[in-house]
Amino acid sequence: MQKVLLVEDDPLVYRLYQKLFKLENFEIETAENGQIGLDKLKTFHPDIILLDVMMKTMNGLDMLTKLKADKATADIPVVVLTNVADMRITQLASEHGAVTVLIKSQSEPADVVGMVKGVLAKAAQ
Amino acid sequence: MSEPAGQTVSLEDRVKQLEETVKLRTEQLMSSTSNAYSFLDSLHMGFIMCDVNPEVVVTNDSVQKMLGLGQYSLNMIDGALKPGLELRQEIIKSLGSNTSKEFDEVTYGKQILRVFIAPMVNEVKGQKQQIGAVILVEDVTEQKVLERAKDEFFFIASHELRTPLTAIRGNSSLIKTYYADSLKNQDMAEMVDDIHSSAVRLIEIVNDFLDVSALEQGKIQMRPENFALADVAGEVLRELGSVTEAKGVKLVLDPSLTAAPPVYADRQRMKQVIYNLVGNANKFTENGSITLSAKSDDATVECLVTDTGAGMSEENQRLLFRKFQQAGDSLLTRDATKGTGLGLYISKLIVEKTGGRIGLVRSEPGKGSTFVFSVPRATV
Repeated sequence: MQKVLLVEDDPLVYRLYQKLFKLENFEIETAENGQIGLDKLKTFHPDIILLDVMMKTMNGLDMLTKLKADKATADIPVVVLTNVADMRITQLASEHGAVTVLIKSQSEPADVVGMVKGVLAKAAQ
Repeated sequence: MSEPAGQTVSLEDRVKQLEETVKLRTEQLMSSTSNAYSFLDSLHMGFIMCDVNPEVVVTNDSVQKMLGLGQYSLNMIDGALKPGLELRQEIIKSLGSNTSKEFDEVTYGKQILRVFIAPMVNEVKGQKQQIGAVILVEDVTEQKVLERAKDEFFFIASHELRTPLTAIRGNSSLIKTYYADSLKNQDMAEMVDDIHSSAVRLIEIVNDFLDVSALEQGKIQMRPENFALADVAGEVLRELGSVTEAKGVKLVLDPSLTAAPPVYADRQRMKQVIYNLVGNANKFTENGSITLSAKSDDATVECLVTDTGAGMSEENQRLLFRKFQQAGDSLLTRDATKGTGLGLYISKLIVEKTGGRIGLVRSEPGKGSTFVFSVPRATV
């Protein structure tokens, strides 16, 4: 079973994705901010990370920078999920090593799963 | 008997007269100088005048209050404004090039200042001579704070509105996809469908509103690159294909578009324009086709979107490309299912910002319409 770490602070959003990925037979863990996410990575080794941007305590871009700087986690593909349709965030995310950026409101659940499967298939090659 | 004036005036009187005149002239001069000073002091804007050295000659009350400096030497003002602005150097540059300069956002402690530097030229006997520089300083803190608040409002509004809408859209979608078996009641299934469609429509409205506001404020940065319009058009046709084919409207990519030379524009934004034009055509076409074709010359590529739909009367054609406009509709007869009426307006703002033009080529009621937009060609 493939493992997803979802770093997202809004229960409306994380409950949606938790259900979605369970229904799609993934194992999913949720962290409510970047710091909790980094802590979880010490024991949970996901195949992919879905990362929100705007979160208190530690935002997504800071977490991305930190996990890309750590050899143990640098190779895990990261998909940035955001609802801030701002090109600067898209650019910053890709500069920091995100595979891609997905606008949550523009994506049906099937799009999110499709993208995750695509990224995982590419990573497996 | 008095003697004719000016003939036998005593030297003493003459000196007295002269003294009176000097006194009067001095008073006049002092009064006009003091008028000039009070004029400067009553200015809301900060004022500094420098000589060519440059050293401060005059400052007004406003600038002293604004900078919180009692005395005024250029060194002091220069030092106070650093690192926001290298005032002395900028004055020297302005004098050197004999051009004025404006600095829009100079941070000074907690204040934000706008600083304007202009060389002063005096004309003596037909000879133009630089006599120094005038520096105007304006406190724009409040204005900037308001501007930032407005930006933040849109940033937060876009985020906060979209998040719950994402959850409504996503959850209704999950129910439809994974719990169809539990939705045996037709009415209930339709309700879930409607909740989903409502969320999608609301997200589109939010996006349109935010796009308009950002485009009107010039806040959208274009990221131009070289690409083929046919590739983007192909993506749009694939995305909309299932929607249009379901009602029997064929989407056609004409070979003229595939053969068109590459363009230089923001790819995502051009996709948005094509999406709007094809989406619009689809809204008003019940059967037949929507065709994308192209024409090009040395400088531009024109992309044409032709439908076999409802068409428009001449009167209604004039209303196109306006904000919130659905041609022919009054406020009460608006067809809400046709969207916000912002699509063409947004497309116009995008195309114009890209350096192209957008318009209606022809439209005939009952026969269909052709829209066109132009994009600059890629330079090799």
